[in-house]
Amino acid sequence: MNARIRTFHLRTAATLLLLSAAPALSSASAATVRGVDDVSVTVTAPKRVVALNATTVELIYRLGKQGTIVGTDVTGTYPPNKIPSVGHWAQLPAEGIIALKPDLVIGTADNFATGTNPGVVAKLRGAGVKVLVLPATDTGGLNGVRTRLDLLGQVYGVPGAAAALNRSFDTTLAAVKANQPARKPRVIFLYAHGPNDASIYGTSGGANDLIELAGGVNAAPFADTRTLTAEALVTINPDAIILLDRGLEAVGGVDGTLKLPGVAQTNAGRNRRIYSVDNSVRWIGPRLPEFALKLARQWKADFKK
Amino acid sequence: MTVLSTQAAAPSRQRRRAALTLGVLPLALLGAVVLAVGSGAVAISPAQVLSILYSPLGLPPLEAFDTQQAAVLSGIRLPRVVLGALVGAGLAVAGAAMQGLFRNPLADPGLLGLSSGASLAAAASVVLGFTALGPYSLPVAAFTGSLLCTVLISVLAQSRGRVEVSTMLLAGIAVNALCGAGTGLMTFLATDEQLRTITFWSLGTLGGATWPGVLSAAPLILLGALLLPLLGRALNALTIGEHGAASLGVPVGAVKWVTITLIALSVGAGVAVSGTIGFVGLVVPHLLRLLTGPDHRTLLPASALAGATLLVLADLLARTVVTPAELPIGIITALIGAPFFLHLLRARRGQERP
Repeated sequence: MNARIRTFHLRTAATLLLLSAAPALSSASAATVRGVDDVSVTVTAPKRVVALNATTVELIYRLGKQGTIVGTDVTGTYPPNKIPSVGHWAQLPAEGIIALKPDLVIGTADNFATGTNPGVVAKLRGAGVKVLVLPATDTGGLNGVRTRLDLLGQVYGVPGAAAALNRSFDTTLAAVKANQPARKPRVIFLYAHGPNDASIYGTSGGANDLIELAGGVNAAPFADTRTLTAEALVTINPDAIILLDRGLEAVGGVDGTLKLPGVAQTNAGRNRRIYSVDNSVRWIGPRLPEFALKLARQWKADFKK
Repeated sequence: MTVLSTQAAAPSRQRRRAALTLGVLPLALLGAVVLAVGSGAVAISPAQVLSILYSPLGLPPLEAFDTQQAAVLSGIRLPRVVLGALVGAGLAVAGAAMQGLFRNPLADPGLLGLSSGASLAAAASVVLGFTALGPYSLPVAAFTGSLLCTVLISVLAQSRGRVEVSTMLLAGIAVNALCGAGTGLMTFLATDEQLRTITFWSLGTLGGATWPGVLSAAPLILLGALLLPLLGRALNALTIGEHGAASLGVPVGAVKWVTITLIALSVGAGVAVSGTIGFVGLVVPHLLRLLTGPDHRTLLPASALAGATLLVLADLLARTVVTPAELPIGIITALIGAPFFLHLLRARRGQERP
């Protein structure tokens, strides 16, 4: 799998090299890009971008334009970087963002809809700052990522790089398809922060897309993030349990997970079918196919019949 | 009781200090406002601030500024500073009036269910998706919730047309618990995004300040900040008890209703636009009582001025200590207010020891 990822990176890098070797192709021509809120921004090769939401930062990195990012929110930590943070995504500071002198602010519809953020978008625009609202990151699965990628490709005038990344998604998806488990496991996504706290990620959002892509069935009986009693967990009796990497660590690894109320009494607990995935899955980003491939391979080995 | 114990102290010295305080506080507020308007994540020099402020007059600027600086100053920073001053004044004057009315140094507008009612209504509006009034949906819900809660507590505390202050306190505690449970239920039902909205609202912020928001809350807050000080003499009389006050010719029942109504309107409007900001209503009157003595005629206007100054400064900290990010202001007021309050407590206990 690592080798495969390396080939994507090589491919992306090759495309970028081609583009940069031919400056006439990627020359700075103004692009008008329409956000999901129907507000269009016209930009010419933005040089100072405040990129809000983890996936926006990741996608810009994948397009090779990380040098333009001058600010992000607390989630923009991958790939590891030293970009200044404007704070929590649910309470964005208008003046703090303006102080970074951005020529473009790029955020996502789900984040901008929270708390006082709609007012912040209006204030930014009132102060002459361009704001591009990308589609929400928690719906639409990989197609949502593709849409955001296309918009960012237009913003930066690098449609070729965006298309190459898009094709790399298809390559990984083909590998995911080739690695489906023989029997679809019924899965519960345990969103745990510690041994005494275990909510379940429901059937909406990134975790669900991951489960379905990897060949599983989400057994959560609700859509959003809720708590589930130990008895309900036993009744559902999932074949597999997924945690976030940090969740698995917080509960004390696979052994710790088995000690959580109800887990040991499920098929997943009895067969030690406990898996962990990257902490960022709640926002659907460009690594979704890679995450799915890793999980699909594990499930293919574990659920043969 | 506390009020009475300090009243015996040399009155003439206290009157001088009161006059001095009332003279200095407006200057302090002005200083705080100037400082707050001139500081922030975006650099705008004092000369530019002045130039932007008088630019509608068409005079040549002292120092050139760009349109973005003007937009930040007039569209983001000014409404925020004005809202901070208003909310701070409203909270502090309401706190002082509550402590006078209840003759209890621990009284706080929260006892009238203003914060808990607002929290419940705000959480419910977020979770149940009340968006009929656009950006005003949450503030209007919060304001309505705080008023309903206060009305409920007042009605419960009423017997034969009189408000029983001690019953009111107990009813307040019970209704607050009920609202807490309701808010808990809403939190349970909330999605992750809704939960964030509720959490950050309850930490308090002036970051959502817009001119329409400020202008809609201003009349209600000013009503309290300007009219409550007029009740100073009546609240002074109440310190000797309701019967005593009545025998001095104070219309006790009317004073109670007017005070409660003014507090509810000004604090309710403040909470609606800025979330719950703790400790200002409790600490500011105590601090001023040490400076000016217990006379409500000084205490009430002084509290309004000091509360405004304090919140403007607290918000300045909130938006400058971690730039380009900002802290919720409720964290700052409690972080500074609580240790300071403890210090006051310890210091006063030291004085009272024979």
